[in-house]
Amino acid sequence: MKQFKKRKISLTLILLLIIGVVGFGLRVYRVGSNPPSLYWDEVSIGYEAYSVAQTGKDSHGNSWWQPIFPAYGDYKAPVYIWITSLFLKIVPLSNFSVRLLSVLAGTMMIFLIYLLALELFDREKKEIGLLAALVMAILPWHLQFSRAAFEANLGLTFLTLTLYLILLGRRKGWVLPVAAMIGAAAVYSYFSVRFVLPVVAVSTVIFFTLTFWRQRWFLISGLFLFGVLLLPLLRSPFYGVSQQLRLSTQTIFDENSPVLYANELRLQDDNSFFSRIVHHRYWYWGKLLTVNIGKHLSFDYMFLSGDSNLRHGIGIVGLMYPLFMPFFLVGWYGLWRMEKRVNLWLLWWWLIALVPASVPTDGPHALRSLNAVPVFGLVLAVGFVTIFKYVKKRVIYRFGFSLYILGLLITIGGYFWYYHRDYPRESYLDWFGDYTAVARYLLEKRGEYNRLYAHIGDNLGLYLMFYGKYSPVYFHNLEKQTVREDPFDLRFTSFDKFDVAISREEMMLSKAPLVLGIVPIGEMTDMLPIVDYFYDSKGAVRYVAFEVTNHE
Amino acid sequence: MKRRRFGLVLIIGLAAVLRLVGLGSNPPSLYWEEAALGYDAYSLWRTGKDYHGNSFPLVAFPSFGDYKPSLYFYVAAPFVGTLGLSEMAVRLPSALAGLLTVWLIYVISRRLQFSENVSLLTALLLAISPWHIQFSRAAFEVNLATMVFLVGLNFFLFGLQRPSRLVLASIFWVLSMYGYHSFRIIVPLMGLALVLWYRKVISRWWLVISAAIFLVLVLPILLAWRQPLVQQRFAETSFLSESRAVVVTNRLREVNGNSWWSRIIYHRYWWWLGEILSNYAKHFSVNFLFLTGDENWRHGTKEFGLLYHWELLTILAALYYGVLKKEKGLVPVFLWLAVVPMPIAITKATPHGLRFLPAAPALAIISAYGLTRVLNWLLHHKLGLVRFGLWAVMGFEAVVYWHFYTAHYPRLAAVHWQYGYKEAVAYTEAVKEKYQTIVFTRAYGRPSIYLMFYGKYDPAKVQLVEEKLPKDQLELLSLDKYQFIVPAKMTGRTLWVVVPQELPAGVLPVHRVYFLDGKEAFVMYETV
Repeated sequence: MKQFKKRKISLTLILLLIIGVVGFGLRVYRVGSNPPSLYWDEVSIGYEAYSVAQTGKDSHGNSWWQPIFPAYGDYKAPVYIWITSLFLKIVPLSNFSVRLLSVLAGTMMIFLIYLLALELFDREKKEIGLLAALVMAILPWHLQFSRAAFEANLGLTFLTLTLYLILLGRRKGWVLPVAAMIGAAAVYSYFSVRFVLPVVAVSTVIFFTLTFWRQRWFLISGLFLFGVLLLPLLRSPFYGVSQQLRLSTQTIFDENSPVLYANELRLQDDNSFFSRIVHHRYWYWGKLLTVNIGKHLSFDYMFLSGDSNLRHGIGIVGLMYPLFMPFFLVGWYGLWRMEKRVNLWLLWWWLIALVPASVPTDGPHALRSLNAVPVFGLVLAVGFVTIFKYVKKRVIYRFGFSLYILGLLITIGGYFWYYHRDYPRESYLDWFGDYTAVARYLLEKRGEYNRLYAHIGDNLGLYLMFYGKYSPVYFHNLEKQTVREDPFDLRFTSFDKFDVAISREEMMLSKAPLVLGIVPIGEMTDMLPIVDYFYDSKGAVRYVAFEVTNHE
Repeated sequence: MKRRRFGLVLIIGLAAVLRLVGLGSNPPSLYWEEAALGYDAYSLWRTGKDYHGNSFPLVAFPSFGDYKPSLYFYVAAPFVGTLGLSEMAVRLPSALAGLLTVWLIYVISRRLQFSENVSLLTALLLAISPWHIQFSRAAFEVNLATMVFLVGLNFFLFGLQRPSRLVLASIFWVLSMYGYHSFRIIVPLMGLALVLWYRKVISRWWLVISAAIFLVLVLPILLAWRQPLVQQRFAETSFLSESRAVVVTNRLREVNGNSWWSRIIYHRYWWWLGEILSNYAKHFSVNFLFLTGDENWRHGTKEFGLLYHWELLTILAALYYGVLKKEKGLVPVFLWLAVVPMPIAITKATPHGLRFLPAAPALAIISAYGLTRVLNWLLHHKLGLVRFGLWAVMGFEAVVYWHFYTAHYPRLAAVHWQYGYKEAVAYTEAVKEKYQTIVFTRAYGRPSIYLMFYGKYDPAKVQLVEEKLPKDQLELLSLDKYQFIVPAKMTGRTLWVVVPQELPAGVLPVHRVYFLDGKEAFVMYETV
């Protein structure tokens, strides 16, 4: 009997390992070339990490040990950069090495969700855990963000690890301080986690109160530790500016339509007491927020088309496969019958994860709401188990279910087919593949010209730094000579032979003997010799390169 | 028992107040569809023909060329005929239908074996429903057709005990198909679903007889299927007549070299399937049902969704108990709810509060069922205070709704109800002797119908000249002294009725018409 039990455990482990390997494979396969190019946030992360690895300082010459990286003026969270800089000690700087951490974090989620399921359920916990791991391995939402250097994905993994450790802390109190440390790492990984993690962590303790009572001293010390670890963030000299940046994105609270509307209604009511209550602007802001949360629950978004930003979704599938819908619905039902407390806890987690995504005006937002991914994994797994238990009863059900699974497999196949065959082309411009192409071209031609100019966007400088692998020391010196006026624009746009923040007219004023310029096709109005064309993925000319020869 | 009868009377009284008070002035004016319904009904009553001169149209009235289903015209004719051309007369059939619906849903709910409490609450919820009030207070064909459909449903359920009533069910169901387009799909699907669900209790013989009668009565629609009478509607509203999916899939196939697998993976049917599912699902989205409602100002107040906010709780409770306790009585109601969005799923403008209206009574039953369960649960757990609080919230929201609907809605929505035509026509009719031509702008759309309606033109005379008048589709572009497009050559004194943006610089208007919020709707000036 004992032997049998042992064998069963190892079978589970083998299955989990296989799922993990598959999940890792799906994440790492051709990750350097699909998504088709590095987005400028990824490029910036890559170069900051490169700078830290080479010199121990960021690209502006600040010490690596800082809670906020100013980067190109977007004030990045530090953890992704730190860990990537460790990788860069071993592997060279490339698309792959920048995305590697996200791939690993995504793979880790597969194992984490298994552990989380073991901690949450009493019955059939291994089955649920394995299925949840399988779902995570192939979930379009999670795959999308595991295949590019998204800080949010790292934050998600740390968040899940923290919650797992907190639940584990019911039995082993000493892990609670560890959870506090991991939680701090999560907060230093991505911005939306700053809100989600404290709320969900505290409510976890509240939801499972009684079981935590024995560990209260560990709990308090954990809370204290977490608080202490957050202090550097608040005391960072960049904290004020970075908050300003976060708040400068258009949120529903910037909109004054609720105010105008409420005022109009109150005016129509002659400002009566009743009117000031029922037409208070807070109601209308609350409505905007609720409507934005509601957008994340729409069928279209969850199952059919997903986020409209092609970096955050491929456009032909939602967060989940369409055929996952029955499992998702039945999952909540099954969860309620199985573990009411877990059901409510997961619902709460989902809702809280949606809040940071609902405050900006343009929703629904797959990236900012990423913290809800584990909820989906667990619920879908419970849905599978519940349905499977039902269809087991009769042969005809089993037959129908098998057909359905076959359909599901075909859909999944179609997803990967599209992802690897058509997605890179369709999303080429969304990932700024044109920037990569222009940057590589300029670096290649560097030897042939005296000055090289481009007028396609200031962020091109980031790509030149990255693909040219310029020594960070060069930029530390350059920084000392640069006067920065705008705290949200810390880019290097003119260095070496390059200048990427220059207009077409200014290019023509250059006195250098041989000049290369790259401009959008629309600006090419004279008869200068064109030396090359740059195309978008659909075959249309986007930029042209031209030469100017100045005879002394 | 007597007390409950009394309750029902009270509820219907409440429904009557909410549907009839100020019917002529809120919504603030007649929308052009209403004016068209009214004038054609008037023409029908006076001459037996519509104003284009068609004698007793059966399936649809051509109207502006959009072929409106015929039932409302016939029902409205006596009202308009006896009360005259007025807002009240045009809207009264819809308002009374709304009133009847409240009573019918109580009867149906009882027939579906729901308790007296649930049934009374159903009637109450429908009586105060923002969604149902909205469509009962204007001449919407769908509201009348929904009532007729409910009569049919009532007879169907009655027919489970007295089989001969099935014949009446089929007659009323066919009638609803003459009342509104989407019932042409809803009725067959719903009939089929109900017959299957009740297959063990339904009388076979009477079923066959009713089906035969149904087929005979529906024949005119079937025969007209290929004609613009029916096709026009499909072409105008269906997204299948658009080619977006075709363009996308063709491009994806092309870049993949038109291989056989790309023709399967990127087949337009997948795109269409996705579109249909998405359109269908939109009608059950939280935002649409509880928060924002229909985008269109005529189809809702936007302040409220289709249902009250608190109904999220009762609907969830109904789903929970319905599924968990396997409540049989809810199954036909869920079938009903599932069928209604099906015809809407192939249309362009989704989600659509108007086309979804036939589901309103079903949602009222579901919500009332959930509410009863919640109230009972609270009572059982000795949470009387919470129970009281829930009632207070319900009452308060209803009051806020009615306040918004009466105090704010007319002012906010006036422009969407084509406000200003009545006042403008009254003025031009009064002064028309002074002018040789009156040029009336089409900026707000379809002015001719308002001229006939408010100018009380004799339909017989309109029919006589109709054939020779210029038209856009079937909308008249000229009538009497009026020109609705700028004529090529101008003679004599002319009165121009234009929107403020069209007023030439430096010209002083002779008359202005204002919206309810004080902005200018029409300005008029003259030239010699």
